[in-house]
Amino acid sequence: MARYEGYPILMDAIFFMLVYGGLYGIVGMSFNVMFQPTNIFNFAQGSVVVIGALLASTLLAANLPWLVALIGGVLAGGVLAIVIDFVAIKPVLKRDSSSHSWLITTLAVSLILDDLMGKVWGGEARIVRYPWPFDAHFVVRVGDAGLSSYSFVLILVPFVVLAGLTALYRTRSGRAVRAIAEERPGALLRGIDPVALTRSSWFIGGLIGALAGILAAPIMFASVTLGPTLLVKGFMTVAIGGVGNNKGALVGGYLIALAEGLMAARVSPDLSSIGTFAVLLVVLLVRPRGIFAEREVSRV
Amino acid sequence: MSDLAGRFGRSSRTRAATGSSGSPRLRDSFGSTWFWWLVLAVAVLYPMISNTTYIFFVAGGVGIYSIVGIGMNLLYGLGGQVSLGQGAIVAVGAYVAGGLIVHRGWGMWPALIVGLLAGAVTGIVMGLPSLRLSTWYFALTTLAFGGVVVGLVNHFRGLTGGADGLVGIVVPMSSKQLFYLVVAINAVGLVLYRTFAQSRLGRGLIAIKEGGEAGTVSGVRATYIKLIAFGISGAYAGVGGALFAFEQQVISPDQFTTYFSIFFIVIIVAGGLGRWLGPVIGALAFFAIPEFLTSLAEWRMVIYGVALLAFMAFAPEGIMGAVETAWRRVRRRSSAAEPAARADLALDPEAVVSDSAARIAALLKRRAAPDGNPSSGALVVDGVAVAFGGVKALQGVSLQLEPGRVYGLVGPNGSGKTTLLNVITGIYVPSSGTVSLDETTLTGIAPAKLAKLGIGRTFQTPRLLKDLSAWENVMLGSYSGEKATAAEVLARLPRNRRESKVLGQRANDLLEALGLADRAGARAGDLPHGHQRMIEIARALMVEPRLLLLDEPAAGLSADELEVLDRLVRNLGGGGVTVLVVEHHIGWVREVCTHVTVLDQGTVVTSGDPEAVFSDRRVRETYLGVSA
Repeated sequence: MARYEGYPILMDAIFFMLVYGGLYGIVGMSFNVMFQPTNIFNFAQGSVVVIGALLASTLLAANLPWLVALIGGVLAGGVLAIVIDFVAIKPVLKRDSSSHSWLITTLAVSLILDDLMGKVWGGEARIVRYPWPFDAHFVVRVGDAGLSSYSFVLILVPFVVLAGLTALYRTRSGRAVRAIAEERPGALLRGIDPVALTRSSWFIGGLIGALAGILAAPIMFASVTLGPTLLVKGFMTVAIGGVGNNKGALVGGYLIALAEGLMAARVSPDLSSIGTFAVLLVVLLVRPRGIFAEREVSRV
Repeated sequence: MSDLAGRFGRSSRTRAATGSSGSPRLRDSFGSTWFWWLVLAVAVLYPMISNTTYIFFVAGGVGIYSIVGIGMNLLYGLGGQVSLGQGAIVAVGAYVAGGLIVHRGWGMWPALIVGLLAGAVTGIVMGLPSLRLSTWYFALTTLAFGGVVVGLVNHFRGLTGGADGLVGIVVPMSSKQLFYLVVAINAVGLVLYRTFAQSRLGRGLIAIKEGGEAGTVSGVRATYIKLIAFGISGAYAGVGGALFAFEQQVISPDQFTTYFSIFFIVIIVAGGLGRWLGPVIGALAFFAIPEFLTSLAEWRMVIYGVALLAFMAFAPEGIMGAVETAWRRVRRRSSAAEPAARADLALDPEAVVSDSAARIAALLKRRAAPDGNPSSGALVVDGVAVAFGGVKALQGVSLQLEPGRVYGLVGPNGSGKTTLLNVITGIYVPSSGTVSLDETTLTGIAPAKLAKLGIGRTFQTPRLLKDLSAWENVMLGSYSGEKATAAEVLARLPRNRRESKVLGQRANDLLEALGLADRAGARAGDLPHGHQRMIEIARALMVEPRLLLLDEPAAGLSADELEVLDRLVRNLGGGGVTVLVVEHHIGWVREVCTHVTVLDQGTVVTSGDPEAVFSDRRVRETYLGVSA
């Protein structure tokens, strides 16, 4: 469990939801982007998130501008995602395209990466400065709780990502990815190349994942433990919102962040994971394919 | 002439094999794993010889991982369920047992047992979402579950010590004695795993992993078996956790990270997924060897990760599989070219069927008329309609099947024949109309419950469990017929043993009657199409059906195989089983069926005596494609 700066005390579960829900939603969207053309859920995505945060923290520590750190970290995430596809997924799919071995191999990659990153950056959580001109001072205040100028960045960015992805899926390549996701054999027959689309989807998914890490770093610190936390939260958003649905991921993010914030404020921060787990279970019980599931896959 | 000679030789071989009874399985036996037992013996003897506390401590730890691994192998290796929360269950076992000792002053034995029970219950609770979720969803919910357990440990500091750890778990045992206890529990764990794997529960769990209808038509109840598997593997983890607490004496939440759960996946994949001794060999390789390569300790995680990747990509059979493959290669090179093992796989009707008519009749007699009920096996399909979206697959189809007769269902592709079978077997629920067998309404009953009512079925393409032996596939059919409860099966109580023996013999008899006696031990996926069909029919007959539904049984059969099928179907009818055959081989349908129904575009065109039906003008036009 990562420690959050200024953990909400009482009614600010709402603020918590707005800020963290968006972050979780971004991670969820990064899963979706990678899932679309492959039906694969990247269990090493936590490492992608972390590489963004850690690399950005190093670049910032070297007094480079925030924008450079952002670009550097995000690109590292994109490249890492492609490497994961190459190392962990291609070999096992070549052997048996229908197996779930990728689940184990992406886990294996996260095991390796987390350990290596721990060796490079050390086990300590690294403090990351806020991007100028934003900071942690509250501009909106209700009682003890409030929103800083940086909070507004975090509230806004998920919608920018969502809008960007929506626009991207309207392009020719974007429609091709959707075609593969919905009807793979048919898409292949129409000459759509899944390899190139998978590579670019994973690159973009990596960019978005790393972006989440970089954005989270000033408020959650940069450390290897950020990975597992955001991996689980990101998955929950996808499961709740419906796999492949980016709007759903954002809604899912707000839902679990609300549950987390309420549980932490009202009961105990240690038990916030119970709140999110309960929300996940209830949603999956009522709608096993998520709130915004487009269609039930019919039985053949 | 050579054909004749070959046939002669083969039939004598077949006869030689007919005396066989046994239970030919493909999975590990003592005989095929003796080398690994040797390795284990060395691993157990080494600490005893070195006789130092430290070595006993390390070896005990390895043994604990192995215990948890055996339980997880049952869940993942047999059942295909990837749990990333196994470490959390170990934590539950450890904290429950440790807490009872520290706070309540319990002795270690009751604490161990309560730890086991806590693990089983936690396993079942954690497994509940899997009843509705697919593999990777489930993996992630178990991952989240791990967070819940750590959160609880941190919250209830008074009981668990929170992040500082639970201190002072003292048990009256030395490291040496704990090591012996761990070895003993491993032995019990291995026996239990094997018992499960070889019982109907194991076959059912494998059928669930493979998906498809093989398990469903045999009456496998997925929910029930999955929960048993979760409970058992949770019990292993709970015991492992309690022993872990006894050994460590101090436990803290940071010992039970997600990586801890991944280790168990590492050891079972490395050892050999779904192999009997896989987790033990894996635990030895991954936890014992690094202890002796302390210079590499720093890189242990990376080594685990790389090994896991490499095994998955290049050696999915694990260490056991890789070594055995290498060994076979060496042996093949040293010995002279062996005569081709699978020289000839054709069925030989003369060799097998001549004396099997009476045998099959005898095999089926028992179930054909339970309680002397004369109406046994009468199927009534009344006005059944099914629509997929706008497509009307069946539009008010009615049939009446009398017991002990062979019925044919013919019609062009897409006329709704298989759809009708799917309705009868509960796979589709009709939008209107009913199906009943001997006045029991079948519509709305779950497919898995129909086997118990005496309905057997085969598919257009045989649905077998490819990695199991022919005999095991046939045995899957007896799933719903077994009376022994899961507890009886696992405890190997007499009733279960008697029953298994009888059913095993029956499976052998069926295989023999179908001319497959010498294929009983072969891997089902390796057998030719015709044999797979016969195995599927044998599986359906293990259900002891009153009603047998055969979906295109003759498709792709050789002339010899068709003759075997022909005699079988005739015998079934004579033995009191109602048979409904969906078939395109009109010549054969005409010969074997007493009554034929023609379907076209979801409606019955005509129905009646085969000669009358096939000379009907409408049938010749719509189905045979010739105008009168």
